[in-house]
Amino acid sequence: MTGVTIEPIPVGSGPDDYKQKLQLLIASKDAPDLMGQVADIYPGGAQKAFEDGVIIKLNDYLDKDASNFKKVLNSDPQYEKYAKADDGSLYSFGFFREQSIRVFFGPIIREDLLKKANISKVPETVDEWLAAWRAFKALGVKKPFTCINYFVGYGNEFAGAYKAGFGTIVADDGTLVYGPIQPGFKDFLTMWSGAVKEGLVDPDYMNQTDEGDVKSQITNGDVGSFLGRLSWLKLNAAGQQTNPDFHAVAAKHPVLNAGETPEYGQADNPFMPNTYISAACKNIDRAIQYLDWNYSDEGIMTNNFGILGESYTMVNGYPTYTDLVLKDPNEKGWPQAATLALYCPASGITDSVQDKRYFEQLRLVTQEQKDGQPLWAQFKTNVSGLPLTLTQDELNVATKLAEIQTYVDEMTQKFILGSEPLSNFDSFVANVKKMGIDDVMKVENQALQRFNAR
Amino acid sequence: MAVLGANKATFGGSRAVSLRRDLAKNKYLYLMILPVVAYYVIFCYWPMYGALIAFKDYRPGVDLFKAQWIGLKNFTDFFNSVYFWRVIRNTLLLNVYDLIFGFPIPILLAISLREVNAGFSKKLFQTFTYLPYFVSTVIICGIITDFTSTSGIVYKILRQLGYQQTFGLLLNPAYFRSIYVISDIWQGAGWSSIIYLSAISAINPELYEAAKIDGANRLQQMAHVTLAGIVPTIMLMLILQLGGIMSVGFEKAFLLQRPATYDTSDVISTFVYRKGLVEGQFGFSTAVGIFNSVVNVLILVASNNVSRRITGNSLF
Repeated sequence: MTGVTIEPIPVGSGPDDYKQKLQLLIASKDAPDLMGQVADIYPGGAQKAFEDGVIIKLNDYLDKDASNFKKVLNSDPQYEKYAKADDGSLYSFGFFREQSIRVFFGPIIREDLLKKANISKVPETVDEWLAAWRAFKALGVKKPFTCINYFVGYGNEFAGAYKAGFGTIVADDGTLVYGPIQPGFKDFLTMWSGAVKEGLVDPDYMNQTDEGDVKSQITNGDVGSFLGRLSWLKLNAAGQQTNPDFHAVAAKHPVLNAGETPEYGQADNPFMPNTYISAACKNIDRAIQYLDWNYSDEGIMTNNFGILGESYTMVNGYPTYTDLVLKDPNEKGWPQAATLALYCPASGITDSVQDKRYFEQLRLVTQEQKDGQPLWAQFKTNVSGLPLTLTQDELNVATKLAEIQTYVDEMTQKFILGSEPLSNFDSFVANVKKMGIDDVMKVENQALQRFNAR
Repeated sequence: MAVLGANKATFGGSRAVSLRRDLAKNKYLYLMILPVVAYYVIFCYWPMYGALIAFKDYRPGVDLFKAQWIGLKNFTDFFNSVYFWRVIRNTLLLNVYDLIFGFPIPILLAISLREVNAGFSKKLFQTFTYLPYFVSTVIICGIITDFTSTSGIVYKILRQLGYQQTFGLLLNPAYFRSIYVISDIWQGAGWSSIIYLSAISAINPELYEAAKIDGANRLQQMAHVTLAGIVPTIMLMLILQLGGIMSVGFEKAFLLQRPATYDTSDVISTFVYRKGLVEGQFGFSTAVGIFNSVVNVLILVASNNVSRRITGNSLF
């Protein structure tokens, strides 16, 4: 449709393979015309990459070659705020999503086990969670709670109830503060390490990084509650094969007192940068026109639904996926997302606008998902990082955070496991301060002010 | 005497001539070594210019030669880092334990294998001991993770023996070094014993006969013939291992470490990885790498000298 042929460069599937490959390509002056994740891999971010002549700025092309993209960008003030740097520079095309479809993560609990333990409602407060776990343990559930190691940080679950977190968080007054040194973090650690000691929270969660492994523990019936993605609410079907009563439902993000609105939860940003254009690209206009097509009405439909008559049909004006996508008629055993990927990139991050109707048909399929997603959407601030723009001087300070985070991660795990007594929490906070966390937060807040003023 | 002196003078006086003569005489030998020399020049010496990064403020988009010089800043940053002593200590200790516990085992294995005469069971045993060497590190680490988690067999056995903690062994900093070294021995002992086995097979069988005639029993033969016969090989391997005492392979340490065990598990290579690839501080991590290599070379040369003086065996 655009007459452009894309030649993908293969990379390995490890978490850092892409990073390494792109860094090597850039360093060897062999950068591809179109590339992703530049802001994350380039020291100093997208702005530095532009100054060093690695990528181009899109601003000058908006009117001429990227009118569709510009139209989407201007359609919502949030979009522009998240896409542009402090000085208004725009470095990449990206993925736009409206509010209601950016939440897909939260706590999940086995309702059938709650019933068995005569607990009538899904836990809301931390105390109710603890009570449910104790009841699960009494029922002989192996792991009343477990999850993937990095999932605890996604929505700041449990720590958020204490107005604390595992990294930088937004405080009540709207400023950024460092979660692990908040007084609430000690309370969280007290509760959490107690739960680990009591055998309620599975300590192996710190070892677990394999989603498939945890899913199989869940469907085997070993797990009473966990943190998961929206798609994990579909595990019920697999769980019912071992236990016909198996029924997991979403729960709200835990709070301290009943009726409170949870402080934190997961929601992705309205705009996620995706494709950057190399400064060495020989035909920048053409590259931009190609990407811009994805934001035209035709492009958005194709990106979300694929090919009319093959992967979707229009039913009363509603683009409906065909059985080819939904029912796996060739019995290939692929998940729907994989089949859909043959026709369009809708199930991943892409250069386009996500259509709500994609989400409704493929992400909110079961009743548990339809009921659960709005529950997870209830929270005050989201924990995903804001696209702040830091100046070079600020960056020099902010790099300290990595070293601090190493120390904090180590101490957090030790506190949770009890190998470091909680009486040392104050000296832990003092150490973090000595490492310079206040300076880091100061520059982050300066950047936040500029972000808010955009 | 006069003749000898005259000869020496010709040799010293025209090295170029003799080199040319040598080249002409052994041209096929030189041709054969050419690819090897090319390999080292292209893949080992030429990329060394990249070490310049350590002294520069480098970013991938900027040409290496145009990047700003910053002198020894990266090195001083490393020496002043809060983690400097910890990563040095962890790297050294892992290697020292590997040396103390891991080094003698392949030797013992090789010596005892020589004593086994039955062909089939010997081969079977040998195969079993090498086999783990061919399993990829990633899989080995997966197995270790499973075995030492709270549902794993190693944890369960230790628990029966009175281990108190309710969490997996990999989360306990006190166990990291043991897990690392024991699994290293399990994986590598069989493979490392091959070199000793071949050294043993080169020992003249007449020596054993002579020892038997002199009334040496089996243990005495092991000590005075077998072990004595492979001492040069042992020294060689020891020097080589000492040369690597400041380096720990990245993969295994990285796959087995958790934040809770950084105290004992964070080594130079994982530190370099976090700094260089995760945080993008290429100059800094290159500086650490250079420091690491320099220390390794110094130890290699020193241990080589010590060995030459004490046993007369040396690498160079």
